[in-house]
Amino acid sequence: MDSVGNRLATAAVALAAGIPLLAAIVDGRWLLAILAVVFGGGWLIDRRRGRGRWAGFCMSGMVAVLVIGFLGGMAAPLVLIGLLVAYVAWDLDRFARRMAAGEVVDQTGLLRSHLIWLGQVGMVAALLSGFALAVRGNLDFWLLVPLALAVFVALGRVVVVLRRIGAEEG
Amino acid sequence: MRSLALPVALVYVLALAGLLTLSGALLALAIVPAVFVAAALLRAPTQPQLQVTRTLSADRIAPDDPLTVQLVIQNQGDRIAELTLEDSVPPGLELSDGSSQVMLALEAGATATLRYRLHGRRGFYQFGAVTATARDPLGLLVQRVHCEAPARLMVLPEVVRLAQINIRPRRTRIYAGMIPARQDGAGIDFLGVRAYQAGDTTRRLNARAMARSAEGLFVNEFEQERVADIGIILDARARSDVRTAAGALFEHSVGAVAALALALLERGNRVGMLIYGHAVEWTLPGYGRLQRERILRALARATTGDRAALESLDEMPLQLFPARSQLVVISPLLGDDAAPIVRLRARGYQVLVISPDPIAYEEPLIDDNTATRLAVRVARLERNLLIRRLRQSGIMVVEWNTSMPFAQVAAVAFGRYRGAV
Repeated sequence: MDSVGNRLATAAVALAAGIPLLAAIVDGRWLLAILAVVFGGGWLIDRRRGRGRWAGFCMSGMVAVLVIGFLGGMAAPLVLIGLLVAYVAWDLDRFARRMAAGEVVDQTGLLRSHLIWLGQVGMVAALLSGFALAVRGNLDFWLLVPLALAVFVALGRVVVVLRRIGAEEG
Repeated sequence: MRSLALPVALVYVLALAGLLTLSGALLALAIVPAVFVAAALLRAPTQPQLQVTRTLSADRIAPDDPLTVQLVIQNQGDRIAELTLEDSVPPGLELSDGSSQVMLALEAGATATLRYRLHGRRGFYQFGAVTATARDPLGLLVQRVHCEAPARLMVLPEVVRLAQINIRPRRTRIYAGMIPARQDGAGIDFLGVRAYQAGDTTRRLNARAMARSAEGLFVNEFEQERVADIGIILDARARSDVRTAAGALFEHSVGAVAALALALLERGNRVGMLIYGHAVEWTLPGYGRLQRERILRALARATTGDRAALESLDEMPLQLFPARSQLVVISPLLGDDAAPIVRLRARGYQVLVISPDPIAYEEPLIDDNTATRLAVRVARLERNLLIRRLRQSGIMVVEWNTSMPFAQVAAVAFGRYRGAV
């Protein structure tokens, strides 16, 4: 499957590395630029070798570069786009590897439906996250405590669901 | 599950970082992985309900012959957005065309076909389950099931045809065959001359003998040809085998047994086989095509192994080989094998030993230096002494350098072998 899916994944990884790199260079943050090059390069090499062992690590590294950049003053919309692209690249990378592992029946149809769903999810993520970034409000301590509680309860429920799925798989 | 761990961890880390730094923007960024996790949960795959049927193009093939495996998969459950089917190819078989893994989207009630080609070396193979992995469209959640689709395959040993195989056991069976029976009767080979008896056909009168003698009439005697009982013993002890990266000496032995057994069965003989290694595996004596199939199947399964109780050939059970029948021992021969083989001869069996040469097999693969040359020389001397001892006991030994085809060696050895005793 050295075809559309594979090339798309490679392009997405390159873009995911390029956004934080460009942002870091523009801001003159050379250490972050080097980290972006290291993680992006590592990810591309990993893709070329077709192993996929380091994809998750490199994607996390890319997110870390973006977050550090954001904490250091990088523009929030740029960080959001970078995060979204990194996430999409990670998804496409895994999808391309799954396709390359064996034969694919109706490769074009499978790729199209994956891209449509990925696009829809990405769009919703971008809209919700962008909306959240646009909303400005003061978070005082008494608002923060229930908010944090809600976040952790929600995530806790996700973990419970995941553990149940894991147990069913096992 | 592992795929989902990363986005969940990102949600936690970003949310935690947002709370610790009191940054609403970081909390907003946590929404991105959270949406992906939610999308995965929204379209989480259900347990696949599949019916898998496996068909092999043949249940027995020759080594390196292609075999087509076809799997028909029917989805008896809900639609699966992304399904990966992975068939487990038994070790020893190799893919020659296609892939044993397929990825597809399978509608409810739909059927998909996976087809690929294999080839492999001699052996008995069992196909097992097909692993079906259903994923959500983003590949974060996984449901895996193993669908049983059993099948068996025999890769039979390669069989070469032997042009002639002249053996002469001490005892033959009563049925007409192609082995000289040491008795006069209807046959082709001249046996001797005896005095004419009433009832002898005049066509057998020997004019020359009568001309030389004034005593009366003489007739020619011809040797009867009958079928014989032949027992083939295959040495499958791991300690007598030589394994290299290129293969194993045992494979040559197996090929020789297959060629011999088929040639002997084709000539109407009753052939039995004993594989002596980690266990004693009998193929009871029998005739014809059915026996040929039994022997080939036994050879397909044959493997080397060791067991302390069966280290020596002395432990060979011989009760199924009739007394005074022909035994063919195929063995690379170890130093302590001479005595048990001589004892076979002493018990009245006509013994033929075919010995694939382990030294000639291994020598080209070892470093050429003074020490190895000396070692080879010593090993060669020991082997020559062993073979000489066997020959002195009236045992026919065919030394086989496996770089030569067995058919060629057999043509030379069995063309002239008429059973020394």
